[in-house]
Amino acid sequence: MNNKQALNLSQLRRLWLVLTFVIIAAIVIVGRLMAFQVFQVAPWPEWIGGEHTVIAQPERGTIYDRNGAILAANGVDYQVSVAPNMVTEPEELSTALAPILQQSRYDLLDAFEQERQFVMLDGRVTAPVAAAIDNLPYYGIQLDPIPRRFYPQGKMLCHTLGYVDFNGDGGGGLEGQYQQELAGEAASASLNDSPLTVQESVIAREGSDLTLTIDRSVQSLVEHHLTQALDTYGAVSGEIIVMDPRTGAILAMAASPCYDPYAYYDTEDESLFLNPFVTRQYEPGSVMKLLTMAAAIDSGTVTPQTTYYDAGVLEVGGHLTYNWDLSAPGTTDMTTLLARSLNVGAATIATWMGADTFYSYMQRFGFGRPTGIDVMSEASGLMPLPGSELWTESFLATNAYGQALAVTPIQMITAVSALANDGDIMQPYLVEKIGSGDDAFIHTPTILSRPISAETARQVTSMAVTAVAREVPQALVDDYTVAGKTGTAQIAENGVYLQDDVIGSFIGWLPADSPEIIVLVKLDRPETPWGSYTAAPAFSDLVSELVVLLDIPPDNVRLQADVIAARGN
Amino acid sequence: MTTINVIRKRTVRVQPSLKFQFDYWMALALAALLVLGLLIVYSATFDLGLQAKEDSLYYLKRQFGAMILGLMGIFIIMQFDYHALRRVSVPFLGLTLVGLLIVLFFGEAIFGARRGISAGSYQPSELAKLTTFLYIAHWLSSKGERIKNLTYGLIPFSVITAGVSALIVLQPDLSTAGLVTLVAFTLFFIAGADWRQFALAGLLGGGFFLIMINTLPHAAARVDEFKLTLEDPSQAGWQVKQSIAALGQGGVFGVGLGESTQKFEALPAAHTDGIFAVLGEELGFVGGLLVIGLLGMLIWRGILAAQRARDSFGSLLALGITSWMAYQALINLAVITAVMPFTGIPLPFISYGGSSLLISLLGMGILLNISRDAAITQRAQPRSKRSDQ
Repeated sequence: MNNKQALNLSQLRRLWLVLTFVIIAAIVIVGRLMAFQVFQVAPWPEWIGGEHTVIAQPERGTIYDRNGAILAANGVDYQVSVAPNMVTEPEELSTALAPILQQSRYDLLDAFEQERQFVMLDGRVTAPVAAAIDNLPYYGIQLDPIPRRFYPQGKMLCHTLGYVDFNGDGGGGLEGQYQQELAGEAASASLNDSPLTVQESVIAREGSDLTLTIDRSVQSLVEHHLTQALDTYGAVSGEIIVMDPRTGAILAMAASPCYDPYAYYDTEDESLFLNPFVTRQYEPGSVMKLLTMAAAIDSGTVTPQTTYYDAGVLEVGGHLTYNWDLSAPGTTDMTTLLARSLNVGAATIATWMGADTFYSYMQRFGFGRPTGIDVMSEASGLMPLPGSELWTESFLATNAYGQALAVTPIQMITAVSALANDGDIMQPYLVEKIGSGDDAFIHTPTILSRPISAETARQVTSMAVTAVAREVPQALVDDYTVAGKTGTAQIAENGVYLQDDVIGSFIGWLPADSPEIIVLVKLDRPETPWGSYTAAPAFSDLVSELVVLLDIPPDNVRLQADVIAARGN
Repeated sequence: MTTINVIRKRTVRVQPSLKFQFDYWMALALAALLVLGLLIVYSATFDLGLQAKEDSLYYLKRQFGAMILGLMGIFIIMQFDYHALRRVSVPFLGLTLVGLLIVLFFGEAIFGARRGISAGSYQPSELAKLTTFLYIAHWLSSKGERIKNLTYGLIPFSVITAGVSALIVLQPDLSTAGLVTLVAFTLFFIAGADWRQFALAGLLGGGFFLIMINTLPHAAARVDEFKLTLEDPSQAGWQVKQSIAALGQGGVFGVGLGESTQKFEALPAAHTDGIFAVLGEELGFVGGLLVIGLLGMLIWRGILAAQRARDSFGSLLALGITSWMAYQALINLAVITAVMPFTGIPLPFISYGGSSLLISLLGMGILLNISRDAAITQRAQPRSKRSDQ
């Protein structure tokens, strides 16, 4: 029987031996399958990667100016990683990639050899760099988009807008203040790896857009003038704020120097992140005399016609006050006090009022507490009150002409805006609208406080008009009546006044009979020390263009129109 | 008698009436495996195809194309008496060696290894399996009892096997080289090698294999990982854990065809070497057993064909092809079930891979041919006294 078969007995035996091994192997495998599939011996649910938790980040809201121009928007950067086992041409790839990523070729080759699924090469590159990498004809590089905040206007409004860090958190300015509104609400959810499962949107709340009171054109003009002023007067830094005193809306807010909000992390000088409008404080100097005068008139202590005798020196609480020019003009009226910015006069009327009355007015003007403007990190300023350890009697005199207290620029312009708005201080604000559509929140102008009567405001304004016309013609603007006051303040460092460095400032508002804008110009450490020669002409230069841009008619045109309108009635 | 004489005695044409007298059980098992394979390949590749090639049918089409080519190959092979292959076994082996050399010098590296030409689409190492076994069967059967002689047996055998294996190892594709060596040794053993010589060759080959495992960095890492796994399953590597998780998720009856979730991200090489894990997840233990059963049936019919073959060339060739399928399937399944260190070897007829499927089908064509010839020969037995022995 076997003779017809190709295999002899010995060969058959050997075949069966091999077959036995095969069968045993098969039994082992079936046993293993049974163990894993029927008896479930392996703790595989721990190993499974079928679901992973994701944090879904809604897109951050856009920031617009009042006319809809984009000030801050979202874009993407890319994260560059490599899947080492997908790299087919490590030599070529590293040679091509090294100059793009600015990394050494050897580091890249090192990364390609790692026994990991992914190796991060660069946590963040810009879109053009990513495009260059994408165009390389080699395999293995992965580009993942990550959100990045863009500021299409560059450095414009830097301190006001703030910046967004790589975690998506706003740092400073509006980005910080409105973090919650802008960022929306992230939600975490378990997402299935399988494309067979339909994924639901897991975003809890979308980010809201912001519309600002800022006008991009006004801001641009103001920034231009600030740069020019710093250049002309050799100042190291400075701020300009333009506000509508009737509503508290900020039309422009410029500061220099500025950091780049897009590449904020490249900023070497950390102090640049201190917001100069709301965080940094200074001594206001003579601008304060406007408010001392307003308090004195409002409290009935003086009238514009009241006179006092100026002996050139006044002792209050052991401190001797002199006039800035060391003059002793003798009998002087209130308007001249303002015009010539007499320290002795300001101190005199403050002592006439008494500490109680003076400080109660100063508190109503908002000193020593934040204005509540919607920008992150607002400081309170410092005005020690009688009864506090920091206060001594001489402060009544020095505070009256703006020394021995600290204010922020926004605090100062807000306080003075009472004079420009019939005695009412409006809440200063930057965000006109949050969100869009029916759910949008729209800011309603609100009165922050009423420190003085409308009558007082008008009286002090007209005194300030006369003062400017008489002593600071540099601040005048053709065809407009300007009310305002200069201030020159010393800079204290470590409790000692510096000899040469001052802060020159000017606050002015116009048209004086019906103010539409109030402007603060502050220049730090200019070469010429007096505010009347630095901040005042800078104010004039700026405002003469600003009135055109803001469409504020010259006084005679406006008054004629009023007359015509009255006749029509 | 000499080799030349043996060939000349055979007729090469098959009578037309007998062309379709093949082994239907074997064909049925093969057909079932192919259908299952296409289903699972589609399930494992629709997402990959969509993502990599923007066509969810891309991989299925390629696999189907290879299958059609393979079936055409079977049809052509069935037109001839398989003894015709003796004539071409030497040129085929030569062609294979040339192919392997081309790959070594000009092939494109994928995952750090040069295994194919034209972006890895054509893999001569797959072809090497078939042509090597064909040549060894031809060579062993022509030597008869002389293979027990050192000069005629062991030395030439070792040179052939080591030569082909070395070219494959250099790619480096240690698992395919191991498979080729293992099948060659099986043939040598069954053909009647001297026990002592066989033990010596086994020692040498095994030693070489061990050295290679410890020298090639990726192989050594996998072996270390496997040792860890044996001590503590939770120490297993990512690939092993994910295939066990797929099997576990499948349970007894599976999550349903197409429903596997492990295939998407977790399971590496889900459509090629890891396809049994996808199958186990979708069709469960039952499905896995079905595949093992079908493969078992193929192997059983293959052994029957070897036993009944007309001469020792037919026997050895049938055994070579059968043991190739058996070992390849066993190694693949052993890897998936974590009995063996991870190695990339496809599951015959199921795994995605054009070269692998085409060559496996050609092998099956030869096996079907041998079994048909055996059946014809047995029926013709009373009228014929022809025998090789």
